[in-house]
Amino acid sequence: MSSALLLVALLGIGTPAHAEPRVPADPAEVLERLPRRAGDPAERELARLRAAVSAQPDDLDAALAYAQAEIARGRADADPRRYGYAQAALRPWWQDPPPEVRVLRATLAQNRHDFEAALADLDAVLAQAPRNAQARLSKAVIEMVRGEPDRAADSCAALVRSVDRRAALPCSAAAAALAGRAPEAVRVLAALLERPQALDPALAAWSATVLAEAAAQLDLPQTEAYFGQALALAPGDAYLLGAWTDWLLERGRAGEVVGLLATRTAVDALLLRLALAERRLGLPAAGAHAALLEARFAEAEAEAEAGGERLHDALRARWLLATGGDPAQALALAERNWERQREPADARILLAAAQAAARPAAARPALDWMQRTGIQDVRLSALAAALPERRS
Amino acid sequence: MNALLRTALLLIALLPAASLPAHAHKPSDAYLTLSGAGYAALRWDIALRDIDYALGLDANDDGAIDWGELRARAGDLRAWAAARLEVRAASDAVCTLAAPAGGPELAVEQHSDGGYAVLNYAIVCPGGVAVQRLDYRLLFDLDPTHRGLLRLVGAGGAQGSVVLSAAHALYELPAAPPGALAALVEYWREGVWHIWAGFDHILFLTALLLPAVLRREHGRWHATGRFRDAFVEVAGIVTAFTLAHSLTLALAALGFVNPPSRLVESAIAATVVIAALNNLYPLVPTRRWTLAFALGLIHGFGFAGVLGDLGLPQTALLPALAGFNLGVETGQLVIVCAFLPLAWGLRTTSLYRRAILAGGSVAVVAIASVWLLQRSLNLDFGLGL
Repeated sequence: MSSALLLVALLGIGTPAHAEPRVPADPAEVLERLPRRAGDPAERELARLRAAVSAQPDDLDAALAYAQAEIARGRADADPRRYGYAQAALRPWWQDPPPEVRVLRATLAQNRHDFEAALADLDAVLAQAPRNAQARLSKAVIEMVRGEPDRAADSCAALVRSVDRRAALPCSAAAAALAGRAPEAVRVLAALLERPQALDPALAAWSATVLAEAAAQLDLPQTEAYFGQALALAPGDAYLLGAWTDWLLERGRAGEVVGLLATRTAVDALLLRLALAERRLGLPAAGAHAALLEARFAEAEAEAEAGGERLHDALRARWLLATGGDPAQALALAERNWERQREPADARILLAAAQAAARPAAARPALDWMQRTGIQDVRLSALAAALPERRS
Repeated sequence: MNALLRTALLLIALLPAASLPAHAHKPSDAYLTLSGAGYAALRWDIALRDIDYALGLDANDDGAIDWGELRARAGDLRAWAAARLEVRAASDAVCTLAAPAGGPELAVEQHSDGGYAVLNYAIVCPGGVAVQRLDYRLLFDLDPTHRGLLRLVGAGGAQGSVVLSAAHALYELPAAPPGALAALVEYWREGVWHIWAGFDHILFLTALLLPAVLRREHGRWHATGRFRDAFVEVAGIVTAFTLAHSLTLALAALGFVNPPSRLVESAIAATVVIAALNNLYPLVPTRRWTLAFALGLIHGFGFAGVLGDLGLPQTALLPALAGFNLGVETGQLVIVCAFLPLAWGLRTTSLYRRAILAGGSVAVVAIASVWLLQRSLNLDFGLGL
């Protein structure tokens, strides 16, 4: 494709307004705080792995170790730069990847929401090695994100026959929670987590996150305790904090949200929750954070217009709905997001947007999905019940 | 433990990655703006996080980058960046990134996702020619998902944005947007050409002008006695026609009205028929400038249609419009200058009144009637008219 095809007339749309460049007077003026924390052992370990790759760029084991560490760090911080660093380390094998690299290539594709490319890589690996646990697990997770819990359950079941079967149980429980068997998922995971120290730490953290979300679906009294357990196992995890602060916001506990997220403004999804909480409390910082969030949306939109990916649709829809923005625009964003991913949170946004836009028919895809999967979720049920009856 | 098993174990750390709601930080982007004559001024905003990852800025290792740390590395930074943007002229000669003509070499700015270094360069191509193509490769060795968002800013404002990525690192600059003067000259030429190539406008004007060297008394044509009277008559008609078509041309070209082109073309043919018929059966024998004005309104829409086909440069809309209109007037003036002395010389002859005025008008009515039928009914008589 010629680069001329990428020429996009922006003409002011989405070109973010910047302050004028300036030359600071004070050499001590801090311009940027780096995400790494001084003396952080995980950061030192990353630096060590990176140095090993720099020393021997053709060493597959070194590259895999570094790439995996960067991806894990990128996930916890929701920082896409980390995925780029991982990809750079895998460059010698990127075009013609051995299975280990191919699984990572799928993970990176999944992280930029290119689920087709990810599944193609995973299926290719599984065709060669049906017992590859990571490929099977990644495939199950993508199927869950795409709102296909039955397929995910099949993939999870296949994990039992894999090289590493430890993920089979939490995987099946996660699929069950989306397929109308949330009580069963809670029972299995709660039992599994009675001795979390016996589990792989990452597996324990994931299981606890799924447990807390399943409990929230059922509005169980233990929900808060489960979130607490998950936060203890995965402190600072961006996804988990998003789910937890949503739960707090629904219960009017905006003050706690501000306390949890005040330092997490680098993550757009968490900045959204922070801005919503501050807005609700009428805090002075609300305006600045709302402006920052909207600037991020504008820059993301400018990128998408120029050919980048659209990863902000769900966030923008939520923000519009919460701040009294144009409901028709929110609905369009929610619909486009629903085309790509279908988790309960995506269904919530679509239902809320359809109601706000007074277009109950637009909620149909989410209602059909709820019916098809049989998901039990008090929040989804409440939103569905609030929709006006459609004339048929 | 074999490699496959180890991969499986470690990757469990990645599990809920997919379910992360939207994303998070912005990915790594740099912003490039090319502006000025020949796009020779480059402003390049690079995230401090990216510079730190590539060059290591945090000298005192306190997790923060301050202005002192950045400024100390200004030379390294400028050389590092400049080595990762290859700029060439049309001749393929390599251009250099030099110190900027104005403004600081290094400044800072805050984008929504953090602090950025702002590097200013002057792009110097051998022989002072314009920039033609870019090969962008900042950070691709360290982060293949990095992108450069390139903006071109011409005389009339932003031209558009281009994403430079590892897969699309090469970029050919479009021809420099026309400046106001260039647009004026180019569209002036188009205007002249259109009047001469557009036979209907010539016939219309000629039909209106034919009786200008005569005056109508008692139902008959007489030669005008004084040249001044003929001149005033011609000037009045031409001025009225010009004012009228300029008005509708501007209204249509700027998008205020947009009549369908087939209707306009048919109506123009009708105006030619009317103008010529008025010579044979004068309904408006005197003050024919009013006729020129009323019918000229329709011709303006025709000019606008031509201009629409040419495409107006959005960066130089008004100069182009003015140039085109001036071109139309120029073409028209040339016709008048050729016509007036000839008609003045012949006005007393019966050849002029019989053959030229009467015969010419009949011929014009005939030709324009064919046009009218063709254009209104969408027919082709194969007459080549």
